[in-house]
Amino acid sequence: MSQYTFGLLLVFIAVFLEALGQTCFKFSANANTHGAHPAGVIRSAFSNHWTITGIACFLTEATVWTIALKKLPLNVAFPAGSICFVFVAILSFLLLKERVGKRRWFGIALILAGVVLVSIQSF
Amino acid sequence: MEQALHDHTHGRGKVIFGLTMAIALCSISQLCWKYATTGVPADSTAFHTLLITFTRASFWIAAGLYIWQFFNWMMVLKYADLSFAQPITAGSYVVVGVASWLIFGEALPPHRLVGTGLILAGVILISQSAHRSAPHARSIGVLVPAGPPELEEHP
Repeated sequence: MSQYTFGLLLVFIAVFLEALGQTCFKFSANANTHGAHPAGVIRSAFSNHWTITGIACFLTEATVWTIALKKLPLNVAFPAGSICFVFVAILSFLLLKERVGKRRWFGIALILAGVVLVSIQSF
Repeated sequence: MEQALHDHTHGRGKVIFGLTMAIALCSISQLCWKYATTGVPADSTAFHTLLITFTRASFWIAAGLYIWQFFNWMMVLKYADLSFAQPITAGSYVVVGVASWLIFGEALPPHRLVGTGLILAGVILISQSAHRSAPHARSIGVLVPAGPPELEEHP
């Protein structure tokens, strides 16, 4: 496996961890019965395991992402990383039972196209 | 039905405020972080870069903003769908892009301008959807358009 392919694989792992972490945070917010203010969020973090699992996902992601950035140029890693929006939408649909809907999917497609254009170094 | 409608629009103001804060906090912390690394010699080792960065106030401002963002984000998620809130944070790409051009003098060629416009269009489009799925959709699945709560309780 080339360094490039390995780098891309790491980006996808990092992005999946990010989406998983976000899903954990959403589960945490749904389970929070102490209120949406900081004190309530802290109390909730001690009463369910979702917050700490989410934070663990983000810390692991940061490590994997850092290694990925060493293997790939940022103008490749950054657009590849925007796949995160797709992963989050899929996990929201599958695990959180949210209605993603055409409008949100089309919005995500526009954002992805925009990120790719922004990342192109020059024509 | 009234309960469903109430739930559907509940916390709209908090969500708008929270997402505006999320975009602002993300953007400002990114710019602070970038600012913290400016002036670090390009040939510095990773350890030396970290050491210099840690002595910069802008790095600690960025760290503080991240903690603020965590609590702000948990508030947003209390009221909004994840598939609504998370893509809207792409608005920070637009803010950072424009600010990098204004503050750091980074190039903003036409394709980058068009790309930024597309991201903005995507964010605006998503913001036009309801910020929260109807309550029944959360518990019994997206394929069932409507139904009494009794459906959730299988014998």
